Amino acid sequence: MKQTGLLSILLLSTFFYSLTSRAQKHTVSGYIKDKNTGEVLIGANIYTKPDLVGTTSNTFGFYSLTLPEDSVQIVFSFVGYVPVTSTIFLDRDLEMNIGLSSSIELDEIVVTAEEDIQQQSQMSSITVPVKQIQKLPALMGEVDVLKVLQLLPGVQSGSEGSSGLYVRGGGPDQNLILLDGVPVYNASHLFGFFSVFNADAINNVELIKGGFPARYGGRLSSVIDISMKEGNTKEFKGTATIGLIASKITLEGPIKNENTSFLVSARRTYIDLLARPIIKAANDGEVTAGYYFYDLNAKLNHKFSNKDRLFFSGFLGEDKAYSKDKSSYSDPYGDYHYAYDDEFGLKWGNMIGAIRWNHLFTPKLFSNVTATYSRYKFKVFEESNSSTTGPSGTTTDNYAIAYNSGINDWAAKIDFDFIPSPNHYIRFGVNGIQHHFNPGVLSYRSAELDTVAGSFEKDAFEFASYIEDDFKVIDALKLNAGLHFSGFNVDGKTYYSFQPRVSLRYLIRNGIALKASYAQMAQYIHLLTNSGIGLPTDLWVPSTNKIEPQFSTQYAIGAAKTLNKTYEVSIEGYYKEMKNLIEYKDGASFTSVNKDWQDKVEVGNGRSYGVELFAQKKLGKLTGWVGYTLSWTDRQFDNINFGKRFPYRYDRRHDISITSVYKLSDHVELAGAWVFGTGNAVSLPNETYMGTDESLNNYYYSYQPAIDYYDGRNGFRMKNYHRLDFSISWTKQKKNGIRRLTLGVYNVYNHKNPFFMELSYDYQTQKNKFVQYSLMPIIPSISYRFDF
Amino acid sequence: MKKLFILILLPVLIGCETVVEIDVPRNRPSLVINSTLNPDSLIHINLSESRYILDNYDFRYVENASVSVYEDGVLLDTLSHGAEGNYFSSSIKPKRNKDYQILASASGFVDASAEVLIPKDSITVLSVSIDSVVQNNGFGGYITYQRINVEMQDNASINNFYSVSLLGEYYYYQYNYDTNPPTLVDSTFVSTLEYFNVDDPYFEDYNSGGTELIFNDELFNGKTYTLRILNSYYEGDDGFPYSSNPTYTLLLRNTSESYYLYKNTVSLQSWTSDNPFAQPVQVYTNVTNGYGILSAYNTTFYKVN
Repeated sequence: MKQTGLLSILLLSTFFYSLTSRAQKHTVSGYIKDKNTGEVLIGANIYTKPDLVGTTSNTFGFYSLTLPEDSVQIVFSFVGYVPVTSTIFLDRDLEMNIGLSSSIELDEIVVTAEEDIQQQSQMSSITVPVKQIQKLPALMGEVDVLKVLQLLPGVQSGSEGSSGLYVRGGGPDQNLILLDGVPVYNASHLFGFFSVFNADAINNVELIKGGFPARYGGRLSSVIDISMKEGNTKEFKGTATIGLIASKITLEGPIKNENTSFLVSARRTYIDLLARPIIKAANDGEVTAGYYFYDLNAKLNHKFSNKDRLFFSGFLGEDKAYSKDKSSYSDPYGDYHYAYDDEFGLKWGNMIGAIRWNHLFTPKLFSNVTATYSRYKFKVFEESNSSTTGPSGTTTDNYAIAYNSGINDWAAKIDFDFIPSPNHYIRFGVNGIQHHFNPGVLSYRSAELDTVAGSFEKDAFEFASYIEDDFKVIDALKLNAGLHFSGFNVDGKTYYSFQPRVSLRYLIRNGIALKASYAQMAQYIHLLTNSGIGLPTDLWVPSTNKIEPQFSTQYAIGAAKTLNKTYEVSIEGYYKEMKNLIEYKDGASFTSVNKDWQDKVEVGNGRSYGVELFAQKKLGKLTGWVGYTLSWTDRQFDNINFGKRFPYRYDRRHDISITSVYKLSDHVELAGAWVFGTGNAVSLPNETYMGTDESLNNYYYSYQPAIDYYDGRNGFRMKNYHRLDFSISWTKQKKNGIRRLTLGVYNVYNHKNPFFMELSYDYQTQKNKFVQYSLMPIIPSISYRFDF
Repeated sequence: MKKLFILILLPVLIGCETVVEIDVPRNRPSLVINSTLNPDSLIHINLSESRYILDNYDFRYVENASVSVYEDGVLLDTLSHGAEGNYFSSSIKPKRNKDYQILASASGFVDASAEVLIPKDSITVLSVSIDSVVQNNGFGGYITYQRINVEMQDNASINNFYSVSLLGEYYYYQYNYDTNPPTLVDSTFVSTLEYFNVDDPYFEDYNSGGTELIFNDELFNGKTYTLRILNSYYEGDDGFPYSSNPTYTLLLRNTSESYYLYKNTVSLQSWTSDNPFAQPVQVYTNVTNGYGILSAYNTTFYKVN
């Protein structure tokens, strides 16, 4: 026993000894920024020459590198920027804030990143530069961050046009979408056709599909970490875009001096404004109807000193559909007058806010304290009033029906980055979220009835702590090991979960990196969806006494290599198991409020496995990527499909995406994207038979419905999906800014992609047939952007 | 909901429809047994065959079958054949709390069978009362709103399944409006199941508002429960009523679980059939080696007026 104790102390002291220094060491630390805008560069590389000891900048652009006392040559680099090399004599801790210049002529300057794909211990992760996102063709010219992520291997799009993400066989509820560290619950506008993220306000987007570092938790399938821009600290700048369906404007700049800056970005669609007079004219002004969405991003940050920074960020977005109908009528004799009006509305939206405070305790210890609020609200209502005025007075009748649902979160967290030496990058932290769930309440009022029904509101507390170390064991072996511990308190019950996470990278010959990872995840909230296409009616609900949290375990192995410093190639295989997934019972839906949602769901398991290939060219005149996914995904519920496994709706055997941007000249750029996916799984009947309805007791008449029989759930496939998008942009330097005109075409060869299928009767052949409905034909778009 | 889907399709510039070939395997047709037994009627079943989904001829009855009925495992009767797939017993009515098995065989089909227990109890009604409100309909006539309160006692020891219908009977009047004042020319006796609502949010929107309400006792097992049925009728314009005052009869049924499951899944299947995004609902069947339903109930009639 004593020996074991001694051994432990010995091991621990060896560990800490390796963390601390033998020779005299000093730390170089600071922030990496874009020289022109002052915007931080996330994931920039800082390394020494010639021994390539290095680190990368974190989400706030901060880096810290501890080196022995010596003369040292340090390189600061970031893809798309001209690297800066600095030679210093390190005899004390040093602060170096570096500004990198964006390289216009990427193809002429070989810009390399030493911390490239084969260096990272992290796998299953892709960072897409916002500049690249803005260049790819977009539906109706509206640049969409989530739609670009759908073009990556392992990520699927669900239905046509939708911005829902299905990552490695998971559902859209299993993505932790973070905007400046705050979870966003419903990331869609216009029933999912557009996402809420306005690319003009975004600095960086990172997607993690597996091998999750311990700092992330709370969702099973992915982390989408979106960082908003901080605002130009050098000069006042603006961007305005006029598009087919929406316009947007972004303003940013310093306030007083470089220490304070702001960014405000707003977007609104205007179909309703254009259509309103037409609708009014068409029905003599009695009906008005419309739809719009808007969103607003704002960020303010202030640097108190090199050690303390404060950030406020906010987002507000709402979708609203409405119709008003008014009519009146008097009978010819003038005895009676009737009036009727009806109002229908549907709206949903997110509001989030965050305050973040960065504090540097020492050059090696960086901290960030965050307090956040996130709210998602959905409401549909209809109200009608009618009145009849006659000789005997006026009688009125009215009814109102409203359905509300939503989720509110208050959260706080503190995260630390401790970088004791180039071989260790330690992160640890704690966080807590107070959830308030409102999973659907229907209120109904009429002359006869005034009632409120639905699920009960619920409060829950979620908490987590983590520690992870990105640890270079030897030059060839790098390891990220960590533990995420989380819990959820609801209904007087507390669920706990210990989630070990590990990913490692081993360099073999020819610069090929072999990678492997293992991650357990827990998710304490569920999304109830009965459309399967991601509608705002989907309800967020907590785990409860009856419904347990979701869990997943994912294994992945892979290999990665950078070729000629321009191409990044990787291959990964993964296997993922998911437990306690929920799904509505057959036929149950959100509007049936007679029962609590817990009585309307089935609980089951899911499984997904596959192989993903990814080849990306980041530099040169031609940039882009090719992604291919071969995968299998299924679900198993005891009370669905007689307990047998069935394919997930978005089980997609083959999924291919090819994107490219080609710079024809300094002024003209071409972009294209082609996607292919195996058709979605669908349930179709294979037989039909005569039903019976003897409720009428055969006294009067008997009605015999035809009943369809389904052999199994999702047993059939829709036709394959494929589509080509194309765009061309002209950029021109004007006296007072840069203008960019983009023409785009969505679904260039007008392929009729399946959206849903139905059985119908063909009168010509007098036979039944399956009919496929398509949504998006060829759609041209135009947008005009002006940077000033 | 309809409006919601219209709005979803709002951004669609051009909807597009394509006929697609889907390889759906064609199975040999199976026997379909449809029967609802009750102690007041002779045993009767209907036999038809299932049809391949892409065919669309009229459903075919099976006429050459042999249908046997077993009571608690003992052969009770062999049913006689009538037209249109009907098979019936000439003298036997099922008894309460007895188990019935039906075995159907016909050449070209796999034998099919089904089993049901006739419910033991009738509904125990403690009281029935009516609240009425008469309102001017704005035309010089009146609308009568009725709330029929049915207080019932549930049996705690078993899972009960209930069905409630409301039978309205009245004379319907026709006038000759050419004369002044109009003269009554004809009256027709009408006996019909009324469409009614229930004043309790427990009942699903697809289940209320029809002519039959089907529910189980999960909310009030072993307790008394008051079902509030909302009904209304117009009396017509001043001096010229559409109809005589109706008389109402409540049809209260204790049903088998199969009745409850079948009716619910049939209405759910048709309810979700409009929504191409919802998973379709499989209709409950208790027929082995075939399709259809064998269900049962006891009816209690209750005059309301």
